[in-house]
Formats: sequence, C-alpha cells, structure tokens
Amino acid sequence: MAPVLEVKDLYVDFHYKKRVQPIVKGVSFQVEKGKCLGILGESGSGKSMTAKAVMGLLDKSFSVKGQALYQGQDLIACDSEALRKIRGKEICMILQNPMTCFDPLYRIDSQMGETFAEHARLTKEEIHLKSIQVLELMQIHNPEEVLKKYPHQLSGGMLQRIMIGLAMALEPDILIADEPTTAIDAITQFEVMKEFIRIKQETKTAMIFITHDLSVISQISDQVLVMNQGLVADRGTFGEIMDHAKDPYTVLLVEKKKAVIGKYRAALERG
Amino acid sequence: MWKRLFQNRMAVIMIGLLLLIALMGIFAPWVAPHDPYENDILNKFAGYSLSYPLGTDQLGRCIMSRMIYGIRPTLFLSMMTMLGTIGLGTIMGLLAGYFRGPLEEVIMRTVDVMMSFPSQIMVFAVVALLGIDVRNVIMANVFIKWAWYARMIRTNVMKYRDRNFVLFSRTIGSGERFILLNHMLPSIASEMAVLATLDIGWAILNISTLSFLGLGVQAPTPEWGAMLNEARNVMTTNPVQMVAPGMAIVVVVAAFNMLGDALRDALDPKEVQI
Amino acid sequence: MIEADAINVSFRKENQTRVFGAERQQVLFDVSFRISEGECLGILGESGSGKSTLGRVLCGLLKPDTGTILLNGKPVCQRGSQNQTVISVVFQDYTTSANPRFQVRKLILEALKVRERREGIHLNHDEEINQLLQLVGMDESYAARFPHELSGGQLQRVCIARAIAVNPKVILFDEAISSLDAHTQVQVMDLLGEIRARKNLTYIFITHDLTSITYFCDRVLFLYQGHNVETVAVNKISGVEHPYSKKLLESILDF
Repeated sequence: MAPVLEVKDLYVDFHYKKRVQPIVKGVSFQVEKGKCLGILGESGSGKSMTAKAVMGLLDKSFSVKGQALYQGQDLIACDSEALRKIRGKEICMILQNPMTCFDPLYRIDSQMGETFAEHARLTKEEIHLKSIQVLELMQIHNPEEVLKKYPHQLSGGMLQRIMIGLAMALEPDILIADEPTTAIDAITQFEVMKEFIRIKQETKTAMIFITHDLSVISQISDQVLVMNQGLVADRGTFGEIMDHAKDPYTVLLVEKKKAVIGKYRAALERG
Repeated sequence: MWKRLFQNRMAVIMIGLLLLIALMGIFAPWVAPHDPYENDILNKFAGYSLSYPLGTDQLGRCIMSRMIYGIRPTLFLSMMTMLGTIGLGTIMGLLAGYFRGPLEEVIMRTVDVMMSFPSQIMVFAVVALLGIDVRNVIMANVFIKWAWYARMIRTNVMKYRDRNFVLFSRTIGSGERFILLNHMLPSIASEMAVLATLDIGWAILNISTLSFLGLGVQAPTPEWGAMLNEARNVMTTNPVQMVAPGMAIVVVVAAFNMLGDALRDALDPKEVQI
Repeated sequence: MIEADAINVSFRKENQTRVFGAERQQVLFDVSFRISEGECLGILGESGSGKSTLGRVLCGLLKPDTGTILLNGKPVCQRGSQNQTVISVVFQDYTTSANPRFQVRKLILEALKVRERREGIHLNHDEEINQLLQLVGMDESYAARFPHELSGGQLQRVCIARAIAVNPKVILFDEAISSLDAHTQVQVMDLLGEIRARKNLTYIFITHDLTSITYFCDRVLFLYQGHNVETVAVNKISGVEHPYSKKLLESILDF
C-alpha cells in the first residue's frame, strides 16, 4: 500500500551567528494510511524538528534539505502559501503545551470558528453546530458552556482534547501529535490517550505520534522510530524495539524503562 | 565577564573614547593650548586657527582650553552624583526587595513621597535653599534621584529573590550578608550597569542645566553648561560659540548610554557564545 | 523524625472581589504526616495539588498559617540554632538552581562553609569537593566549569552534590528528576539510592510520577487538591482505598 507520507533523507541545519549546527542528520520514514508511526526520542534528538520541517513551520534560520512526498507533492519544495493551505486541512498538528496553544484573549468558540472559517465554507450556524459536535465527540460535557469560556478557565486536559477534536474535525489525512501528553497529569493523559486510540480505530487518519515516553508509544503506534541526536537509531514495531533493539542507545532506554515498570508491577503484586 | 566586555566592539570604542576624554581632563594643564581664564578682549570671536583651534569666546578666551578644563567639573561632578544616587538607591532597593515586610513598607512609602515631587524643580529648590555650591548640587541630585533607582532595583531584586539558587542558600542557612553580596548583587549588576550609565548622562545634563541657569558652577570656571549659558548671550553675534559645548555634551552623554548597552550585554549571564 | 501536624497554607487571592478584600485561596488543608529516620517518602501530586507549597513549608521557606513541622522535636523555622537538624533541597529547574556566575567549585564551597560554621570544624575544601563530585559520578575536572557548560544531568548532579555538602539529615527533592531524560532519571535515582544507603539519609521525594515513586520510595503520600488523602507503603499500593488513588493507579500505562 502506498504510503500517505514519505520522508527521504531529511536534513535540518540551524544557522546561528555564522555557525551551522546540524539538528537532523538524514532521517527517512514512511507513514501509511490508518497506521500510527511513533517517533521516540529525548530532548535534543531532533524529533520535533523533523515534524516541523515537514510541515514547513521552521523560520529562515533553519535550512531544510530532503524530500517529504505527500500526494505526489514534495512538501519541502512547496512555497509557503501552498503549504498553508495543506496545513490544518490535510495535515494537522497538535502541539505540546495546550495552555499556550490558545489565544488567551479570545473565547473558545471564536477560536474554533476561526479554524473552520479558514478551511471550510460554513455559515455561522453550521460552525456552531460543528463545534458542539466536535466537543461532544471528545467526551466533553456541557459543550455549550465550554464554548463560552476563555482558555484560562479550562484545565490543560480539556484544552488538549479540544485541540484534538479541532484537528480531527477537518478530517485530515495525517495527524501529527508533538508530545501531546507531556504537559498534563497522569489521569488526564490516560483519557487523552483513549481519545487518540479511538480516533485511530474509527477513522482512516494516518498518525505521527512524537513522545519521549515508551509506555505512551506502546499504546498507540504500529511502527516505532527511535531518534537520537538527529539520527534514526532504531526502527521497527514496539515489540521489536523492546526485545531486539540494535542501537546501544535504544537498548539503554528500554533497559531503564523495563527496570522502572518491573518494580511497579512487583509493588502491585505484593500489595 | 571582562573578556566578553572587551570582545564587544562598541564597548571598547566607548570606553576608549571616555577614557581619552577623562585623561584630557586630568592632564588639562598640559593638553590645553592656553590658560582658560586668560582674557584677550581685542581677540574676541576669533575664528578657527592653529593657535585657537576652536576660536575664542566673547572675552577672548580660548574655547578649546575652556572645553578641556571644563571636562573636570562636568565629569567629576556627574561621577560623584551617580555614585551617590546609585549607591543609596541600591542599598535601599536591596533592603526593601530582599527583606520585604515592614522595612519594605517604610522604604517604599518614602520612595513614593520623594517621587511625588517634580524632580527638576526640587533640585533647584534644594540648591537655592542650601546655597550655590558644587557640593550642594551633588547633594540635591542624590536627594531627589535615589528614590527612582531604589524602586527599579527593588523590582529586580524581587525577581531574583525567589530564584532557586537563592532559595537553596536560604534553606541551608547561608548568611544573609553572603546572599546579598554574592547572589543578589551580581544578579542585578547588569541592570545596575545600564542604570548607572544612564544616570551619568542624566547627571551631566543636570549639572549643565544648573550651570546654564547660573545655579551650578559659577563664572569664570569653565564648565560646558556654563559655556552654553555664555554662548546664549551672544547667540546673535556669534552663534558658532554654542556648537562646541553643545556637541560635547551630546557626544559624552551618548557615549555613556551606548556603554551602558554594551555593559548590560556583557554582564548578562545568558549571553553566552555557543 | 519528621512530624508535620495540621499544616494549613493559604495565599492572598490575586483578583479580589471587594476593594479592601482579604480573600484567601487555601492551598493546603490540614496536612499531617510522619516520616521515620532513614525512610524515603514519596509525595505524589499533580500540578495544583499544593505539593510545591508543601515543599517550601518543609524547607522552612514558607510559614504555614497554622500547624507545625518538627524536625527531631525542633520546629523547622528556627534558623541559626546550633544543633538543628539540617534539611537540604534539590529543585526541579536546574537551570535556575545554580548561580550562573559561580563555578562548580564555588557552588559546593558555599554549602561546605555553611557546614563548617554550623559544626564548628575546619575542612580541606579541595578534598571535600573532589570527594563529593566523585560521589555523584563526576570527576574533578568539572570543578572549574560554569553551569552553562554542563548538561542537564550533570548540573543536577552538581546540585545533588551541593545538597549533600552541607551534611544534612534530610534531603527534599522537589520534582528533582522531572526535567531530565527518562533514562537519566533512572540513573540519578539509582545514584540517590546508593547515597542514601551510604550516608543513612532521609528523603522526601515530591513528584507527579507514580512509577518513580514505586521505583525509589518506601511509602507514598497521595496529595490531592491540598489534602493528604492517603498514605500507604509502596509494597501495599494495590490496596489503596481513596477514589483518587485508585483512579491514579488505573491511569498508569503499562505495556
């Protein structure tokens, strides 16, 4: 099956005060329809930069080389206006800290309406109905009330769910989630992951899920890409990474995670 | 820190310029071509020439020599003023910002009172009250301006007071003096440097204004503001006479401001070369 | 060894509804607990639970509205007393935990000097600093470096060395490993375990991550919206009763 997104030999360099710092050093991967690619890496590995480079979100101080083929087009070679049309409608991105993703000066309904108005031709009533629908789909009770609130009046978990709902409402081909559960607490993380799994099962959207947490990636990804310092350290299914990782970095990650979870399980059993 | 300072081209140029001016002032008797007090009425309003590089003023005195001798009161007085103002302002700001509580209330209310007076008028009033003397000029400036700096420094101190490294020192029981001198003071140093250089500029302008109005340095002592005053009187007959002292004030104040910018960059620990 | 009794902390609200209003937002409600010597207690709470505030109260940096904290019988707020039990602290944000103008050597030296003054002894500074750096797995060459020249994990280790330099009986870790990479977290926890055994210290470990607590601590205190809802030994954790604790256990993602 042809992949929805194919990235070949992606290089990203950072230009600062006449010096060049390589951030991503030759990364290639594919994402297939209805499947989820998990990108695992720690801070400084280049995982977020990879996604941003594909989406065209990096500014002039970064130079991007390589190919990102989507529906026959190379996203990296696209101009900014063409990319802007694709972004949000066909490829959506959810960012890390939901608190900072919303403009604190506007209510939720106007922010949601802004996205709908940009990408779909809907009347005001239709936008309102669609917003309610999106919120209900995300298991948010009292959607009418929530729409009238400002971002600071809602919790991080709820904002993140609204972000996901908004991203999915446009029925994109690809959903990129950049550390969506890092800034929220454990209980809400669980709820948000349930949403992601449900989305994956019910729609045919391809997903790229970026995180540093092995447990989170185990829940949702079909294929895992491990990144370390701008390079791909390992790739495979989650089971392959856990048991047969080749790169010493991956082995270290897996070992430490297993130790922690092992102790957790032991504590549960003894009690 | 010093290394970073000297890597900043602007800082080096400004320091060089200001040092040059200061040295010229210190070695005025050897650098100036003529005696600044020497009159030569027959030679008044002379144009630029080799023996009188900037011409002469209405009493036939060499403007160049007066400018060079004028560096002394201008720079010296403003330095003293700045040190007094910043010193008092920093102490008050540190105490208020770090210790909070009743001490802060007392200091800040005093600051409020001082700041409610219009500063320039107050300086005049104090000088007029105490008499026209150079020391009174300095005291008046310090008396009025310390409050403004105390407030700014207090804000900065409060910013750093709850930083983790200060919290750690307080938890383990480091002495308060140690924390103030080794943690708080260096942290606010970069902001203080900008304030100090801005203040010198302000002080120079202030002393020149006072001299211009006849309340500061008295004639015939050469001082740039006093020279501007004298030039004002002969503005219609010899407008060129205003140029030299006016330009000098502009150049020196601007140099201090730019030095302040460079100092702030050099002292800020976040500006690190990758 | 540590007794916390009925700690209540409230702060003046930012937006008051009346002009001279004195409305307060209560953050901690009647929090009480005990910690025995040599134990490692984990305080589990999410953001907004009041765990950082509790940390500040334990360090003596914040005075509670009511309630006391006693370290070996003496209240924690008394500074400057001779035989005071010493509590040291490691914070979450290592970038602001060290004075950026101090070299590593000077950072640790400050703590050593506090110890010297308190115990009335004289130490060989260089020797002590090198010993401490070795204890946290770094070699002597790091002593001359500045904080911005160290990586996150290294800087946090320096903060740990500094915390130990003051020769404490208790160390409070306020989300000390949360900002580190996952595998570095485990390495640091292993290191801290070794140090605790070697020096017979008592740890208070504040975090939002339950799996860190089960890896590292003996008992866990669940802090929910300013209330101590439950305290249980780690090896009896599946027997929690409070609905919040139960929900938390269910949310742990396993593979």
